[in-house]
Amino acid sequence: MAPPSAIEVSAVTDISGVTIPDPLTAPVQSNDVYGRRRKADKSQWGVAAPADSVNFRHKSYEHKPKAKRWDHIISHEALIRKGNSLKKAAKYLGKPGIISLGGGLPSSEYFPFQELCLKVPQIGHFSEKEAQDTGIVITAGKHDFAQEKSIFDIATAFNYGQGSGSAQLLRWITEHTEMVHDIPYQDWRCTMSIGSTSALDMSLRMFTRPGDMILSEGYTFAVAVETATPLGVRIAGIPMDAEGLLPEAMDHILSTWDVSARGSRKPHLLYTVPTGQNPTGATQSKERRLAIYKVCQKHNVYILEDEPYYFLQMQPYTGTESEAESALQKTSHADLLQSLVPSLLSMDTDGRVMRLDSFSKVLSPGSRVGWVTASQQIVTMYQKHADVSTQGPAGMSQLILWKLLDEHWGHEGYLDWLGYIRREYTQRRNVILRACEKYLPREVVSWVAPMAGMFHWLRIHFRAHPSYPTLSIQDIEESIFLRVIDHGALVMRGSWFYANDQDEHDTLFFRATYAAAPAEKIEEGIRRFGVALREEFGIEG
Amino acid sequence: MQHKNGFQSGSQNGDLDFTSCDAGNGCLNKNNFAKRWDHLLSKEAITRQGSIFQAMHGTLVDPAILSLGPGAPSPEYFPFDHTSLQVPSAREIAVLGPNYAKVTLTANKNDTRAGRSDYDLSSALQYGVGTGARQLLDFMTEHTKQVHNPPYQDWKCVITGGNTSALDLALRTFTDRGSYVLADEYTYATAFECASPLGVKILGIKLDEEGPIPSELDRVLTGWNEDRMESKKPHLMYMVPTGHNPTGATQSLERRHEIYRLAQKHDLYILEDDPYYYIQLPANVSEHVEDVTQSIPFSVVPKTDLLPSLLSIDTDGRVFRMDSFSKILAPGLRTGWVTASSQVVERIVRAHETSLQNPSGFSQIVLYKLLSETWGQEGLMSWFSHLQVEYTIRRDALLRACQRYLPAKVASWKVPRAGFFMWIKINWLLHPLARQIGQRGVEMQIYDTAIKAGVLVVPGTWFQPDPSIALLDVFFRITYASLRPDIMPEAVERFGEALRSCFEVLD
Repeated sequence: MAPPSAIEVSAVTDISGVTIPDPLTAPVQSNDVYGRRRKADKSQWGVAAPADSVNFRHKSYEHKPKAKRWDHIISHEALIRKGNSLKKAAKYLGKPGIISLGGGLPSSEYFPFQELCLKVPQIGHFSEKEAQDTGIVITAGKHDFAQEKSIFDIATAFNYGQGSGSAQLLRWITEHTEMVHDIPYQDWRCTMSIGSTSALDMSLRMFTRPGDMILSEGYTFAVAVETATPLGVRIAGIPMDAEGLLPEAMDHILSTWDVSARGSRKPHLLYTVPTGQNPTGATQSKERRLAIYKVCQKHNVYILEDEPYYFLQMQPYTGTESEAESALQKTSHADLLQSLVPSLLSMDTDGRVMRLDSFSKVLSPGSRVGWVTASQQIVTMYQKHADVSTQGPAGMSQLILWKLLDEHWGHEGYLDWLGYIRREYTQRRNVILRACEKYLPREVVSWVAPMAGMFHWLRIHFRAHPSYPTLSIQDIEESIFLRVIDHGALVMRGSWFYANDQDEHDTLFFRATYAAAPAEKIEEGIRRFGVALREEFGIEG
Repeated sequence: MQHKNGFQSGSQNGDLDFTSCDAGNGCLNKNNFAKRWDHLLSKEAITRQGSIFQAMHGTLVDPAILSLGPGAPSPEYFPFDHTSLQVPSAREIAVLGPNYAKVTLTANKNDTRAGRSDYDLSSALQYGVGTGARQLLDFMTEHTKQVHNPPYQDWKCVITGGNTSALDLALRTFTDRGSYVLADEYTYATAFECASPLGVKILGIKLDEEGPIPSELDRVLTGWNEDRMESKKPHLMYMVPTGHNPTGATQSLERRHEIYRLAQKHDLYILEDDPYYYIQLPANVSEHVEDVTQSIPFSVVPKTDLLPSLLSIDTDGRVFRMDSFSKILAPGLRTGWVTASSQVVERIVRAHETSLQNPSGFSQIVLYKLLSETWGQEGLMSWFSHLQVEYTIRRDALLRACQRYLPAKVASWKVPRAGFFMWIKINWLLHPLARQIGQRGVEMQIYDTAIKAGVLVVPGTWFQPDPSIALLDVFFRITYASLRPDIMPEAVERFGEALRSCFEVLD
């Protein structure tokens, strides 16, 4: 691909509602990508038009190595999947003058939807109240594309689409991915998912067969275990510290893998949530990530990098009010991007990472839209699978997200939004930490301030419990859990997040979230948790 | 952790236990419960446990409990204040047909708190439950009761991500690697493309103009030899009973009963994929467009006009019915619904929890607003009546074009009674090189010649589950769904030219 050309406004004339910033004053790496977009053929935006993210990349990757091939670890199911055969006729649809009596797409005439309106916050005025008072109404008509008002409309979005998702939104997603991650190999691609839960289900079907064991953090996202189990896949948990999984421990597990004792071949897949891990809140540092990647290279392990909380990275917690406040100052886009711990994807010289991104935590879970970034081989398989199962995300979700992200906010506005979300979560995190300092008995509970995500992970010193060791760890955990409920609060039991409940566990944790409740309820919830702990451990309040 | 007692699900919207057979809806008069299908479930479906988080929902219903539990984002960070969509008003469709006037549906972020609606953006855009949104589920359950009235007590609906996704989950629920599934000898291509990577083989049953031939089905099952087939006798049959894709065939009521009886005899479980059910069309082809609009009034379709579904004769609970909004509202909604016995629906809900979760919240709230708050059950039926008129006009335009432009000696067809497709049978033996190039050669030549002539038609073999089986005939599928009626004559004329040139037919 040629290097980015000079900024040309003409390249965006088919998009309405986007203000092209003056290239000289444009913020670093944000909306100036619009000026660099290649002019796409009009057919690129048509109903169910095939889309390949390679057409939407701006940088040059020619000089970079190609990804490794993964044929040896791909499941039989994924290898033989052919995708949708009716799409083989699609290539003829580009032939001038051809009339199709082929594909049975319904005519948009019969979609009982005429005009879609959407009220969203203006850039910089993001609060719920501001969205209501000063928000902007954006509109998508049924035939905006035919009428040359926009490149995406109801007639297109509400019809059948490709497993990759629409070209319109895929372009934005590819540009965003390129802006955030400096991907060190040539043939990377993006494709949309219907959310990371589905992406995990599909990738496990792609990379595992019944009887396999895969690796993950010792405490992990419960849904990951629940997804793997029916597929006949078990998880080997890796010990963790405050920075997440321990590379040395992972190396040890793999180096000493005993096939007969484990009842499974040596794992070739790591599932990890590097940032704001659920449930521990741990964030892997850059050095930690590099070390993990090295171990994966050594043992030829493929990585599923599940990153829903990547943009919920916060400023360090200092504990003092004034520093906390100053941390809430707005940062520039460049500083925001700079402050993010580099992703595994951005270290992935081999193409051994499949990164799962999701809009759930940063825009809304109900849109059920995410995306996957990996090498072309893997993304092509993912698309074929989507074509015969989930298909692409719902058209209305895609249209709404595209209207908001591409036509209205642009990359610039989205980075502003991410900055806003980050400040909000920083505040929420500070609230829960201050409440913990104020209300929890430090002699029996300890924690590390989370750097990212939605979760605070509280370690209970179960050996101080009056009934230990008569009662097991899990019994003590249950006793505390029920007492907390008696006092009118709910926290999650750490044992619910065991990667493998057959393993021995000598830790006891509870997970508390600061994502949803208002500040005063977070504080009161923690107070009640403290009262319950004091009672449970027989500590005078 | 197990949740064998069915649904303990709940959510931000409160109690989401769903029931389809509440007292008072007549179901309680039916004493029979669905049979259990444990012996047919796949290893995957049996192993699948409920989500551990389901256990907490009971606790969360208590308003006194402050939750620091589930990690869902606060709706204050959803950057959507409201969305609105213009739709036809139901009354107008009934009276005016295509000239309907429009109303605007609006969903605000906090309508529920403000007492304006049962469903709002803050809930639709939040994480949901594997059943789909309760509000929409209630409407589709009521609709299913009114249209199909399944003759057993413990049936339930679940909102799905469309029929492709529902089929994928059904196959994962009912098949293990190496098993056979019965289907039609020509069938929806995505069905076998979805099945074969799962290690599932499809065996086609011979078809006539009403779909699978019962005596053929009985013969295959009665004569099943496990050693020769290297597989257990099939226990699953996939079919598209109404406006079958690709053949356009619609099973008569008698045919449905015959197939159901055979399913009982051989303990077959039925996947009824029925996206064209509501697009049932009149038997007689009109001479003019005006005739069509006269013959179907823009009013509520009497239920009796729709052929009974397999679900509606399903006394055993052995039918897994897949309905979709794709053909009746819009494919991009990626939403449908499944009706089956509660045991099977529960397995699908569990599978949703670890895969698609639930359809897009935007789709769900728009459907709820349109169907429940605007159209109502009758309005939806009058929309179907509108679609029937429209597709009849299209079908008849295509049929008239075929009569006019296709060489009668070479091409023949039946009038489709439902759906989107016509199935053109080619008398391939008349081809000058029939013996040398065979059916496939003839088919390929016609396909290529048609493209050169500027028209795309779909070869029948693309719908063959097992391409190694030689078929006796040559078919092409053509559709009246997407092309404007005024362009159809041109398209069919080109196809006619292609046939004439292949067969060297002189008029």
